[in-house]
Amino acid sequence: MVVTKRFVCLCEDVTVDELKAAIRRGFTDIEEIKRITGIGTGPCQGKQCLHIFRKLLAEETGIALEEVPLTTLRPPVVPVPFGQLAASAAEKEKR
Amino acid sequence: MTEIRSELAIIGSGVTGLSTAYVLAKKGFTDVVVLETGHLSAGASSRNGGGIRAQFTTEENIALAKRSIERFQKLGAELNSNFWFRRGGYLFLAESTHELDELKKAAEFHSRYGLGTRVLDDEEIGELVPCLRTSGFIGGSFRKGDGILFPFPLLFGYADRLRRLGVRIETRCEVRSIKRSSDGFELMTPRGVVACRKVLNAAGGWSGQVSALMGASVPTRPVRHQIMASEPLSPFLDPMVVTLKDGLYMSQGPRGELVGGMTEPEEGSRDPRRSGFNFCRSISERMVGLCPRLSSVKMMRQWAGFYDMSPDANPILDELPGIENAFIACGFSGHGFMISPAVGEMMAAMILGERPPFPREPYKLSRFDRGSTRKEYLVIG
Repeated sequence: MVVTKRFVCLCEDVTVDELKAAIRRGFTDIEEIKRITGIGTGPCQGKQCLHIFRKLLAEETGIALEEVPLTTLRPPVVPVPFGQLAASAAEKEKR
Repeated sequence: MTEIRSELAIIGSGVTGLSTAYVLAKKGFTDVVVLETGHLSAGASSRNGGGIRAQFTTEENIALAKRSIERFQKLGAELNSNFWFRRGGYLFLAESTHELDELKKAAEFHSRYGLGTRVLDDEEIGELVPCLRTSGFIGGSFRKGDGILFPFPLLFGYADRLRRLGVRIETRCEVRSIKRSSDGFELMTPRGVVACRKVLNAAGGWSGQVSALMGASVPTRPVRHQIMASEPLSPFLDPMVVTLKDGLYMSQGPRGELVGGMTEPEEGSRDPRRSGFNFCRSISERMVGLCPRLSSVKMMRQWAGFYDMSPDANPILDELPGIENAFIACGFSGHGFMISPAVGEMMAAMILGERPPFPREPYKLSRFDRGSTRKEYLVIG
């Protein structure tokens, strides 16, 4: 069997075809496509896929790459156990 | 300058505006343009936790919520967009006898409207949600018919359908000023003048600013709320769990992520779109305290949105006094998504001059001047 799917987001299994389908539906904003497909919302939070995603979006919509914004970047930078965050909260209170 | 002409302009492409447009479109009224400053549903609608409940503390709010749940059960099929409405119930938890008394009172009130809210003891809570077994709650209340949904497929399903029916949705198109004209309103936007006979302000956290463009003032204000999601987990949590003490809520969404938020002190950043690390710490401390097993589970991401708070935590659904054909739906105080189908029906009726399907009195703007408000007490998060 030959797998022909091309994945952009390896965390959420989002393919090139899924991104193109969302754009064809008329959703051309990076924030809209993120919400429709889930791209960039997995454990790596877009670190592997965001720039490929932006480039593909620029190509499909004809918008210059520099004009395609980044999605909002927020903490935590990497997934952190609740226990560790809770311990750091307790330490902050002690100080 | 180009001009867009339409019978109705809806300002805001959140769930309130889209739901109203959808009810109108089903009645054949599609000469509508939706104007949005950001991307589609960029405000609270695409940032909320997806909680859907009928457990409110006024008769009118219960009626709006019950009708909305009825509609949510059918909307997925109608729009051909599955938004994973799962009725796992809402479990409210009490940690003091005072809180438990409040829940008992609410459950008794709910019984008058056939909601079937049950008061539970700590053992029954442990049976419902085993991971809370050790947490020492003295009791709670539970209603099976409440639940959660995944907001995005509903919003994008609405947008898809509306566009296909001929409704224009203009995103990245901020309304910068509004002028009265001989037969309605002229809205200045980056895409030209939008001339319309009627206008609906459904701008959520920005509805106060939009009202000011028309020279009207509404007593609502956006308050920032933060929210977070864990890494995906196998299904373990059926109901939405809420603590009365600090408004912590958590549920397991359709992707397996634990999604939750809690009440925060209002000081700190006022920008509702920014979020912060302190929230990650304080919610983690509380969650691990409630459910020690979560200690090794990872928080994956967090974000922020806002509640458009009104003084009595009830929405304003009205025609602006003194400005004919200017309608407003705002001040949802964290409940806009869950009552949006009924609000859409209400606003559509007002816009068409039909008899509204729900009482107008409790949602009129003038209630604040008359001092005849009844507060909604179950505001969570």
